Amino acid sequence: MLKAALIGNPNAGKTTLFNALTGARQRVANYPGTTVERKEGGFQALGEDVALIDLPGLYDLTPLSPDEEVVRVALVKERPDVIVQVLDASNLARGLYLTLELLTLETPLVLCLNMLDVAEAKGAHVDSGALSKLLGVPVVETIASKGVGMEALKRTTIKTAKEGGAPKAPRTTYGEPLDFALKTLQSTIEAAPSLESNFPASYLALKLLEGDELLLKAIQAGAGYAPLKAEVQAIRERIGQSTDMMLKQRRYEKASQIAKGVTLLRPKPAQETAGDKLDRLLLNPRVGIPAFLVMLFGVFALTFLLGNPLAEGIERTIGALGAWMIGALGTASPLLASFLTDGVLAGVGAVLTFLPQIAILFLALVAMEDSGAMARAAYLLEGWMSRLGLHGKSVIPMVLGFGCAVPAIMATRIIESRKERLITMFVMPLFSCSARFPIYVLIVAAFFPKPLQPLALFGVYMLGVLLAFLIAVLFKGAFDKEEEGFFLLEIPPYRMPSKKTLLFFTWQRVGQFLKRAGTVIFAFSVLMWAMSRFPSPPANELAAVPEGLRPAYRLGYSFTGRLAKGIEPILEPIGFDGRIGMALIGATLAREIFISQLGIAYALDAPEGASSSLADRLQKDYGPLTGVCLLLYFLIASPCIAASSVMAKESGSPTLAFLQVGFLFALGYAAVFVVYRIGLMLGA
Amino acid sequence: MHKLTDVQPGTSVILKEVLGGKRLQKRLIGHGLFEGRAFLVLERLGQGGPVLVEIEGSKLAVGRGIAEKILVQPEESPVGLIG
Repeated sequence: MLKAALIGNPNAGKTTLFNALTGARQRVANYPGTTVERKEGGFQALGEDVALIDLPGLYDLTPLSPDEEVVRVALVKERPDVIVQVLDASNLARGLYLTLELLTLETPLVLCLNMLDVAEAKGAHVDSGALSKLLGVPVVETIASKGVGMEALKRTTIKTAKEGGAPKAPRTTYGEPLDFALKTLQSTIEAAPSLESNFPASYLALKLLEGDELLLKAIQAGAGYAPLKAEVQAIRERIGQSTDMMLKQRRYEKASQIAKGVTLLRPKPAQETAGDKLDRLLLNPRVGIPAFLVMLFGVFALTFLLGNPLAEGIERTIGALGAWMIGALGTASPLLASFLTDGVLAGVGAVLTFLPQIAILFLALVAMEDSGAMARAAYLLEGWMSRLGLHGKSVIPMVLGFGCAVPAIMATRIIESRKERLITMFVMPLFSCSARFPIYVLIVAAFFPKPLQPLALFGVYMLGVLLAFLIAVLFKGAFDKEEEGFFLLEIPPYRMPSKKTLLFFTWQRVGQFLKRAGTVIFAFSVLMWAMSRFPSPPANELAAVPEGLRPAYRLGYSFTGRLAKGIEPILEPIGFDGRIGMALIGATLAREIFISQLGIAYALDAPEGASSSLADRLQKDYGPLTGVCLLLYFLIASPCIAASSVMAKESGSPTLAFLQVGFLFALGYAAVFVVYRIGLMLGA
Repeated sequence: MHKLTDVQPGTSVILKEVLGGKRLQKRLIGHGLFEGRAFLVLERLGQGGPVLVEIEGSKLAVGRGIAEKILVQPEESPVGLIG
């Protein structure tokens, strides 16, 4: 089995390439002791198995944070047989800046010249043959989004790995006195085997002269460390304090030179490209910000218009399945029939109904990120965000938060200043995730007239956003004020998201949702069913109750019924009754369980043969005021254990995670209380 | 010399100095922004928003805080083609 590592700049198409190479064979884990995601996959060609690691995107190999250090460790300690670097052909100099560093690692290297179509559209033709000759490494042309060049890349990767040996690249020259200093340092390192470092001497020399602190720390245990450090210091003093910057700048200039040498530029067309025209319009905040909001609203409208009919289809299928089960088992084994229909189908089924809407929501989120729309939103909103104590890049985790808070909180890593990162995490629960989405849909469908439903749903989301911003402003002084905002963001060219990428990522998310429905939600549905079914009242007591009231009596007698009675004093002031209380208990473990729990309660409570939709039953039992209160409760107060644990881990402060849950619960409870009381006074 | 935040959109400039610390300078080099490099200022957002520049054919948004630390000189002759 050969080991290959995939590396490249952000936006060079690395993830798309990784997916195109490995298909569905992927595993996601974390690097030991960190929260950095480690994606692994594999492919086969020429009768060989290749294991491929996808490294986080970066611009150079000088880690400025422990997270970035992970990449270097993976490259040096794990010793892949070959490194594959993805280069954006339309942005070659920046990619080659990293290449020149990779060459010093003395590991076989394959360059993958990607996004040739984008470069051609910009009027640039890259001569891959010339590039290969100049650098002494194989170069493969690809368009990963269209799957072009994948077989050639696989074969070249395997061939290069098997040949082995350091790339035959000419040594990068930095000019004197830097070259002389590098050579001297390199021979010192080579003569000191006691250093016990895994780093090649040429790389170590370069990075030590660049003043790489993390690298110094990594090798300080070796015996040869002290004299080496002294020599580095002596050289740096002789050349001047800016040795590190000089090396990097010269390297970038070199990369830029190579890029120019192998790129044939057609004369720039008189007309600007369609993308530039669009940008002139959309990068104007007065047009761009409303356009972004319209786009978000469009997404929510789409989930309703397209998702609802599909959801109804699923609901009908589940209903039919339930009826069939009762018919087949009802008389032979009433308990088993109740378990399957009232427990499993009512619980898991109620959640599965929302599968189409969730798929559409994720599809839209992936499309927004892949098309370059999200980066533009971050650019446009940075000014406002920084005044709120947030960061332009906060927009990206926030929009992801509409999907799920867990990846969203993890995505806050792109925010480089800690203060803004913490605030973004803190307000994240107010960006309603897809688990709350079905709850909103249910309540909105039950209590709002049809034409108003999309608007009501959008309103809930916007209220959450507004509250998040308010809280950010209020709390911005409470977080440490160490550094100023640090905002540097590349705006990629517009890209039509490829069908393959869209389907792949959407399927990944939908798969996670299905897995959750099959495991956590299934388990809790069964538990809730059992708690709501047992203990049964004695037969003689039940016989005394009139026929029609028996299901309700049975439920009240059960464990859940008693528990709900117990918490009624807390819920009564905000207008929630025992049945909602039962569902809220379930929802603290996973919000989707609110629906399944309601579904179960109603199924067990139903007179024989009655079957109407959950929304209809809710509408019959509660008024619109309760609906609004429920929306508010789920928007603000409802905690999520998964999100809180990620929050504790990512912020490095469990206290902050506890504070967040407590604060939001108190705020939500107070808000619902006020709205409920005012509603009662107004006679709603 | 001018701060990047004071340059009119549409101006081609040459970077003269970065006032920030080494960390900032290192990050900027990775995007091709260091002494002597030419780039085009595309847009400047109000409300404390970022400055949009084009360098070697790609667009980069530079936050207000950083842009204030970048000193530039307008180029004498307009550059027809960057990158």
